[in-house]
Amino acid sequence: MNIKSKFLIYFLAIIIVLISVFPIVWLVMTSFKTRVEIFSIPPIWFPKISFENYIAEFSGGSSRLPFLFNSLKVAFFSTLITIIIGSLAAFGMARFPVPGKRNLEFWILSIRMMPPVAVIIPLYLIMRSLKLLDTNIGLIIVYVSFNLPFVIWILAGFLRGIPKDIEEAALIDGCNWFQSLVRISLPLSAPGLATVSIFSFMFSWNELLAALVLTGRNAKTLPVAISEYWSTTQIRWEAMAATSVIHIIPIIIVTFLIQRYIVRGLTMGAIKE
Amino acid sequence: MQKILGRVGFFLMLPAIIYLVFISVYPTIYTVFLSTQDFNLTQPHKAVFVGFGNFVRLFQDDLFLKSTMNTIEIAILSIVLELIFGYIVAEVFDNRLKGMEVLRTIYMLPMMITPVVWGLTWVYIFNPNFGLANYIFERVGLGFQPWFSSANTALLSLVIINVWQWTPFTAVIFLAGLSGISPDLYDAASVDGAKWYQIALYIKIPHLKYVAMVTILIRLMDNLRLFDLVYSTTQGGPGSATETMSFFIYRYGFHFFNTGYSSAASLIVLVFTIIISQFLIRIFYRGEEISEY
Amino acid sequence: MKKIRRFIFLVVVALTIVPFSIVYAQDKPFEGKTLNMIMVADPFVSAFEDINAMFEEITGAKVVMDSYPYDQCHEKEVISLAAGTGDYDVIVYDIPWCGEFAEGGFMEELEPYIAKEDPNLIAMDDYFPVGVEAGKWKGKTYGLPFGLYFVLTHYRTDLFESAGITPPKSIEELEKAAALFTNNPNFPGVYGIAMNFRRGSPVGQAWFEYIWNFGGKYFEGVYPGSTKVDWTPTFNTPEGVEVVKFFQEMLQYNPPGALSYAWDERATAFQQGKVAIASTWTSRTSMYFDPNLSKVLGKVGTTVFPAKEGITPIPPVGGWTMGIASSSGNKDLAWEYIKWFCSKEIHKEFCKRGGPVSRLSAVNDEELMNEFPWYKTVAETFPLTYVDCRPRIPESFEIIDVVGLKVSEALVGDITPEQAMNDVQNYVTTLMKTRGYLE
Repeated sequence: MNIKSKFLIYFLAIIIVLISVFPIVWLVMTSFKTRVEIFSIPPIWFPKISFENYIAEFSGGSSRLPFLFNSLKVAFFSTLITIIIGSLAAFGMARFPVPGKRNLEFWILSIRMMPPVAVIIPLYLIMRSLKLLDTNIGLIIVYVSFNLPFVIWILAGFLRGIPKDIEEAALIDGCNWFQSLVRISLPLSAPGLATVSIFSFMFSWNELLAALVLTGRNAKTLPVAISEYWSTTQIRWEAMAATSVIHIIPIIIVTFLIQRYIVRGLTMGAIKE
Repeated sequence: MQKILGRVGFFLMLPAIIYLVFISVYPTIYTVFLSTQDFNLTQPHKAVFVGFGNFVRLFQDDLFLKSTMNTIEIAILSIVLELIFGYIVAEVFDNRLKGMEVLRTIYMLPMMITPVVWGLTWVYIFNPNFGLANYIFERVGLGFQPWFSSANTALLSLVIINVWQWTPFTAVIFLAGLSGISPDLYDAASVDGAKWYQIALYIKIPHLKYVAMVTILIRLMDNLRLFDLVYSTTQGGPGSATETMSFFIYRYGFHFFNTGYSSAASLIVLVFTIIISQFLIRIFYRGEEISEY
Repeated sequence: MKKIRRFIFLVVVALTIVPFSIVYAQDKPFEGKTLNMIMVADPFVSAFEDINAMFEEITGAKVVMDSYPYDQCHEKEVISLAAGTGDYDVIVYDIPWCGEFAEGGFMEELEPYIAKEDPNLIAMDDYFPVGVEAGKWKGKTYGLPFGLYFVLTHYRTDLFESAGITPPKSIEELEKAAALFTNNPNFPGVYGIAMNFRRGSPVGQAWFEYIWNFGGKYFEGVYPGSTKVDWTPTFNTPEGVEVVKFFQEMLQYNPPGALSYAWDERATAFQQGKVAIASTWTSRTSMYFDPNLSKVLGKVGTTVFPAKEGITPIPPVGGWTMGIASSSGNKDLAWEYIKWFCSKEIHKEFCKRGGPVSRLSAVNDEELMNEFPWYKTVAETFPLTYVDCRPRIPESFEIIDVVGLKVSEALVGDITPEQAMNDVQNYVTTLMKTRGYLE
């Protein structure tokens, strides 16, 4: 590839990235602004860096900190439970001749397609009768059900990609069942597990509708808290930006660390070898 | 032996199956039941059975029909633009130059972040008086745009945000698709003296057909459930310009607490989703051999 | 001079607090307890914050307030109350939601609590009579009307004077005045009027505010002094359609962007000097007298909400009542708060900080009358009001929203006013039938 094409490609790539990223930069800059600076024309690109908005939103009487913790708790535990139940199911589906497996797989896949808005009302009523409204547990239960199909599907596909020979070789070599699972299958499935864990966590971290309906003042998650900044007038941009930045920092970090897995996870969903 | 293995496998799947039956299947059935009732969440004791009444009303409801049109419009516009831009971006990133991976990763960020944040951020950017968008537009001569405050441009503004956020998804998938093209094809093409656009048209795009189909179907289903963005920007307005089906369901379910009507609408959305997903599943398994399992 | 005034003010405040402090004796009886309130994010929130601090001082209880914009407030309140989780103890809810909340079993009946108190403390007869009615549903009281709003027609005294016209006494005069100030080279940069035209509650409620003053009504049997029970909707009567046509006419006298104007934008337009007239709720009137932000300080006059010529005005009444959530775990503390907040003394403190006046003692109070000249118009207004000017039945929110949608579509030009009101009529008729009001 000659210099000219290289330059062109870099140039285009940077423009594309800039388009993609300017709202993020704008958001971060907004979080440093004061009320007055928000409304100024021309817009201020580089305000003085001040953390007063962060301090205002995460401490004191109306601190958003509890909601951050709620999000963490809910995302973490829903992912954990999903992985446990899901990997068992994926293992069963991928490695065992389960009767009616093809149909079961279709069924699980269809559930993945279901829009949450279609079941949110029954879920509200069910949670209400179980007295699980406005609790972390209630939300965790619901998130597991949203994530399970996806996790099973991806993991099953992943496991199928691991040749049985390796496991059979281990069994021949004298390993028992369990050892084969722990020493061979688990490490080999690590990338798959990492992928689905991340997606699962991200989904729970970002989810809005179910949290909006199923939580109140106690179990509110961060996306709900962010949505409450919305109003027909007088939106407190600077406060909303500070809270949002806190919300997206984990996502940004994770994206960079695991970007390879993300790509694989997305494409696994779309491409069959 | 097979039988025992089969049972073991089934038991491993059992927790998941039970879970999904209770938290996915049961609520769906409940939704069907609710759709035949007329009741208000705040007074459940006054519920009345109306059979298909809610559905009849829905099909005559202007707002519902408008929301369907809006949802379709947003979906088509978004998907077409995402396919075009996604392909272009994939082409640009399809190389092994240094630093490309980092750039690609940064490019992916918008779709990883929850739509609520983007809704509010873009409301700020699109603010007619002090937003970044109009400031830039006026500088480059494109003039003052009302963005979200006018019924004519509100839907398009939503589409812009949607496309901006999700093109990375299409791009990544296309990128993976492109990397699956065997280099021999390129060699053969250059031997034949093909130009870059001929290569694009006759080799790359046909090869991406399958992947594009999948992307279209997935994005179609995503757009059917478009809620977060509408909730954090226009809440269906101005007028009913950005009323989407999901928001309609939410409005009737949680503004008016007219549970029956809302459930009927969500059933319709569910049916659409199932139809689309059937296509999707069929395509997925097209390539897979009848397995030995 | 200022220092002495401040001192006197503090003494007066101290003297009013002292009686209550004595009631609560030496220790703070509710030390360590938390009271959760949910309310609308209206301008009175800052008044609440001040007054809540006083309550905390006296009782030791912490008051936590969640406030949301109008639609979200309704949403969150119903979801939370329907869930029965006891998230909130004190509920501040809008008058039209009264039926919904009462029928849903969300609110405590307050008669037993009131009966135990000194009648002078509660002073029910000191409220504007329409407020007492507003807090009642089927004869039982569920809320105390601490925050009654009235719509007053505010106008620019300076502009009216230079134009040589008197404040509008009828809809016809209102329209003429609005037309006069719009695009008038003598009054550059000014528009005639600002109105609520945003889709949903803003324009929906506006229809209900004007219908009475056009000689119409929304249900056959619902009008001042009615004894008959007839729920037949009357939206597509000539009067109903006329209101929509009136809105269409007035649109041209509004500033650009009026189609997305809600309560805040409308009030700000007047406060910033953009329009000559604005009929707004009393909750925002003090905005126009704010020395820091108002550009029209000293140029604001108020008059009673006008009706068409030949019709006695029925000015809109609205506002907020305060009650105890039936799912609350802190009902006694909630009642302590409510009865204290709604007492004559604290209500005066509330009014001083811009809260909407709702008591006779307050509207006739010399000090307040001097500071807030519009109290005179409030005093003229409240006897004319009708508590059901907007429906208070459980279906109210939905009905108002449908009207809001259809009127907004007519304003945008998607449909004609006749079509809009016919649609509303059909919708509400079906709704009332399925809910059992009609055969």
